[in-house]
Order: sequence, then C-alpha cells, then structure tokens
Amino acid sequence: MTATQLETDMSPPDRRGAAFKDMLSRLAKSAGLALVVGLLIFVFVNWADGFTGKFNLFNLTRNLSVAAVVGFGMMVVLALGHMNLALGSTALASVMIMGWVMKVAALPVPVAVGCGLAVGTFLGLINGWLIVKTKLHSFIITLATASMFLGAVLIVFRAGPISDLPREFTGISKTRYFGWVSGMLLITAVTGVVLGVMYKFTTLGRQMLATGANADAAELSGIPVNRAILIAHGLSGFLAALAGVMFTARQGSALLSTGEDWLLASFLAPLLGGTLLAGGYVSVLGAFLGAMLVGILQNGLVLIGVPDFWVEFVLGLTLLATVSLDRLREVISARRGN
Amino acid sequence: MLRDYLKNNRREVLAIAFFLLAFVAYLSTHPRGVSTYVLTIWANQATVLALVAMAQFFAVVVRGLDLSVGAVMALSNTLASHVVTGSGGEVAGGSILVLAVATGCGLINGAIIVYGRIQPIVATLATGSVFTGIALLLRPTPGGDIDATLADAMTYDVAGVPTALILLGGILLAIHIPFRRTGLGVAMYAIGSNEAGAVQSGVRVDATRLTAYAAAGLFAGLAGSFVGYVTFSGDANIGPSYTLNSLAAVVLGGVLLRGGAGTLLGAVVGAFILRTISALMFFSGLPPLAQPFFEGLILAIAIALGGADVFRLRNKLEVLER
Repeated sequence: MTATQLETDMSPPDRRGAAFKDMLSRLAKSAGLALVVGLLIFVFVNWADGFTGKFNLFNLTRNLSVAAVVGFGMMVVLALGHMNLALGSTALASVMIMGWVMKVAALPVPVAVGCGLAVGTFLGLINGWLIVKTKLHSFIITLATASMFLGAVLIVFRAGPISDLPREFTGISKTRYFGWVSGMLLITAVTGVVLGVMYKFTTLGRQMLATGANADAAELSGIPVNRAILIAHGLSGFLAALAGVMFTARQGSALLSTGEDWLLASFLAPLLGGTLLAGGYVSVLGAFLGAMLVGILQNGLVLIGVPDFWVEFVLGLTLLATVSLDRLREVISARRGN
Repeated sequence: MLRDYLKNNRREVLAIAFFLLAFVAYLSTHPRGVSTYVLTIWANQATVLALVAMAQFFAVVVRGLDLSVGAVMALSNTLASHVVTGSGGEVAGGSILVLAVATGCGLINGAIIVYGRIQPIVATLATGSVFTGIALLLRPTPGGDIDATLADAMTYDVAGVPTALILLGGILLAIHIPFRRTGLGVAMYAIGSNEAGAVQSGVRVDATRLTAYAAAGLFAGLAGSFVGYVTFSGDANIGPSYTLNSLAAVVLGGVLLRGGAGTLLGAVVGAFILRTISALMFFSGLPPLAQPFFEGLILAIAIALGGADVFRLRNKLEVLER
C-alpha cells in the first residue's frame, strides 16, 4: 500500500504541476521587472523632453545593447557563483588587438573582429584555468588578472588609442531599423537567445548551473565541474570581447578607456534580473530587462536635467532596493513554508 | 620562542622581508639619495594606501569585503575640502565631522549587511555608488581648500621622521598590539574563522560585525582626510583605484580573504609594498603605464605563495571550500 501511495505521490502530473508553478514564478519574477521598466518608460515618455526623439531612442537602444552583453558576461560566471572582475580589462585587451589588426595590419574587418573575440575568449580561459588550478576564489584571481591585462595593454599600446577605424566596421553601430532601433540590438538578442537555450536545453548549461548550485554535489554526481568552470570563464571573456567590439564600433576608435567603468553595470543587469550571486540560477531575460532598466534610467534622468551625480546615486539605490526586495521575498516565502 | 613567533606570523614576516628588500632597492636607486624629503614624499603616499588597507582589513577579517572604501574616501575628502578650513576650532570641528560621517557610512554598510542579510560585495558596491554620488554633489570638479597649518603638520616631518609614519605607528601601537587581547578583536577573528562557532561561544555577532564595518568607514575617512592634507583640495574621483589597491594590499600583507586571519600590521606592510614598488618603477625607467601590470603580477605571486601555504595545513577541507 505504502508503495502505491508513494507512487501516486511521485506521479508525473504532480511533477508537471510543480514545473509549471516553477515556470510561473520565474515569469512572475521577470514580469515584476518588466512592469518597473514599463512604468519608467511611461514616466519618461510623458515627462522627459526628447525621450521619444528618433535619435535619442536609437542612441538608447545602442547603449542598451552593449550594456546587456556586458551583463551577460558577468551572468555566465555568476551562474557558477563566481565573479569576473577582469571583464573590463578583457574587453580592453580584445578591442585594442582588434584595432591593431584592423588598422595597422590592415587585415579585413571580419578577421580583426575574430581576433578580438579570440583574445577575449583566451583571456577568459586563462582566468578559468587559474581558478581551477589554484582552487582560489574567482574574485581574487580576476582581481589580479584584471590589473595584469590592463597593465599589459598599457605597455603594448603606449601610443594611445587606435582611431579612424574603417567605416565597414563602424557601420555595425549605424544600422537602424524603423528609424530608431539600433542594429546592434539584433546581436544582443541573438546572444541572449543562444545563452537562454544553452541554460535551458543543453547539458553544458545544466552542468554550469549544477556547479553553481552546489559544486561538491555536482562533482560527486559525476559532473565535470572543472570543465564547466573553464568553459564558463571562457564564455565570459568572449562576451566581454563582444561587448567591447560593439562599444568600439559605436565610438569609432579603440579607446584605452574601454571597460573602465563597467563593473557596477556588469553586476547591476544580472542581479536586477534575478540572477543569484550565490550561483545556480540565471535569468537571461532578467539580465536583459536589468540592462534596459539601467539604460533607460540613465538616459531619462539626463534628459530630465538631473545632474550626473544623481544618476550614480540612483543606480546605487536601485541595486540596493532590488537585492532588498529579493531578500524580503525570500523571507516571506520562507515564513509561508515554501 | 622566536621560532614559534616566526612560524605563527610567517605571512607577516615574509611580507616585511619583501618590503624591506623593495624599500632598500628604492632608496638606493633614487636619484636624490636618502633624505628626509624623499622619505616624506614616499611616506605620504604610502600612508594613504595604508589607511585604506586598514579599512579593508576590518571588513575582510569578519569574512566580509568593502568595495565602498574608495567611495567613502572620496566622500570624506570632498567633505573635508568644505569644512576643514577657517579658525582653529572650525578646523577641529570639521575634521571630527568628516570622520563621523565616514564612520556613519561604514555603519550604513554594516547595517545593510547585518540586518538586511545582503552579501557584502553587492551591498558595498551599491552604497559605494551612492557615496560617490554624494561626493560628486559636494565637489563636481576638484577644488576647495584644506587648512594649511593642519595639512603641513600632518605631511612634513618631526626631527627627520615623516609625521605620516609617526601617525601610522601610533595607530598600530594603539590598535594592532591590544587588538587580539580585547574581546572585540577576538570576536572579530572568531566570526571570520567560524561564524557558527562564534555564535555558540556567545559572541555578539551582529554588534561585532557592525563595529568592524564602522571601523572600515572610519579608516577610509582618515585616508580621505589624508589625501586632502597632501593635495589641499577635494576630488570626488579618487576612489576606484584605492578600492582595488586596498584589496591587493591586504592580500599582500597576508590577510586571508576568507576572513579570520591576518593582522593590521600585515595590511599596512602590504600597502607599503605596493607603494614602494610603484615608486621604484617610477625611477627605474620602466614606463609608468606598466605599473598596473607589475602590481597585478605581484598580487598574483602573493596569491600563489598564499596558495602554497594552504597545502601545508593539515585540515585542507575548510580552506579549499569556496
């Protein structure tokens, strides 16, 4: 009898019900953020002069697409419960080398972009390899590699930025759809979908999440934890380089200041979107909405005439409010006994 | 006795030896030779970083992290450029106000981390950007003024010894030596090395952690004030490089980022190493741009040595836990 009961308890419909509930709660999480973003858009459309101007929207979507990829770059390591403080320096190294290949070596644009992305991936793999080998926290490893990458770039590219990149390359940032949607948003969207599919449907993605949820348990279950860590950091480097390439296309030159101030933004987008710092859970859509929130907030506040320092102030408060709300929701759901 | 001492404090001893080596190299390569002038300039730069490293030490020792130390520095620096001027009384009152505000910033961090139960990295990343915002509000562009009498008193020398070093020495004597013997100090180490154990032993975890973050704020405030004494002005953009360097300094000084180990002296020595190396590079003909690379390299070496240390411990399990 007990056996039958057990079987009924474990019956598929229940599990499906749980999965459905889980999916709903995930959607609800992003829906909350989407609501906030919607509200913000409503406010700025009505009260910020020039917000709906075609060029402003083009500019906004262009910045947003870069910010979202930066956020993805941090998200893929947050999935492991890791961090990548070298995101900015990795992007810098990638775009400087890309700029050199494009301008000085005068090789075709696709080759140069490929080189940049390869450099980013390689630097990310170095981070991953060091983390796996030393078993030290990614925070400290990437703190060290961040200044090493930065220093190496500054030594090699003493002459300064590489400007006047070919129009064929900068054109990436100039494409517009409907007169106001940046073409780069397409790159971001494709990247997001690929990442979403990876986490949802591929073994590799599930392995990364399992590693983030509990590395010991994952290891004992036969998951190649070290491989997952290595690949995730390589991917993070690739995404940093991709964001760098997009940023450079917008600027028209490979600047030495690339990635300088990405740290707060890189954490903001995924964390606003519900990705856990502890690892084991990511939300690609959330990270995109998070980047949207940050981008719209920055753009709108400046249009309203709010000075720069308040923008910084508001971003900090936004991050704090988000994590506090998250915390509150955890406490409430714990009290309900979920 | 001595052997035991060296063994128990091997990280600090190693760091001090490394520092002395670098320092001798620096003094012997300096084109102007050893003089009070050369020493004072070095001491003023090193003291700023040493104070931020001390701030970071308090956060790290309770198994935390403070990414807002640079921002608190910037905030206190810009505030000082407004209030630390005028009559003697105004200068004294202003200096105290600056330190009080900095300690308040630390308390806010501590409260968010302790009562909000939010990870220190996220909490201080967020508050850091709020503090930077306020600093920019106080001084959108670098400027202002700091009382010259106070500034000179702090940044010159007494009988050939840089005042900055005397100040640091005083702080170390007052805090480093009794630290492990006071209930508060022991409680901080206990929380850092084993929080559950500390709770079981009746340590007042929340109050202690709050105090640690407040101390971090206070020392960041001291660092920001000292920058003002050196530059005679307020600048809201001094923060970011100090935040990362403070972490590098504590690691170099043998303070473990997993908490519960290391000393204030170690943090100071770590800061000295970093500053001496950048000063060395300045005169050695290497491009100044290469500085971050070598700072990173040294940090990496320090991490590697710390990692090698781990394998000598008997109980690897806890250390390897990420």
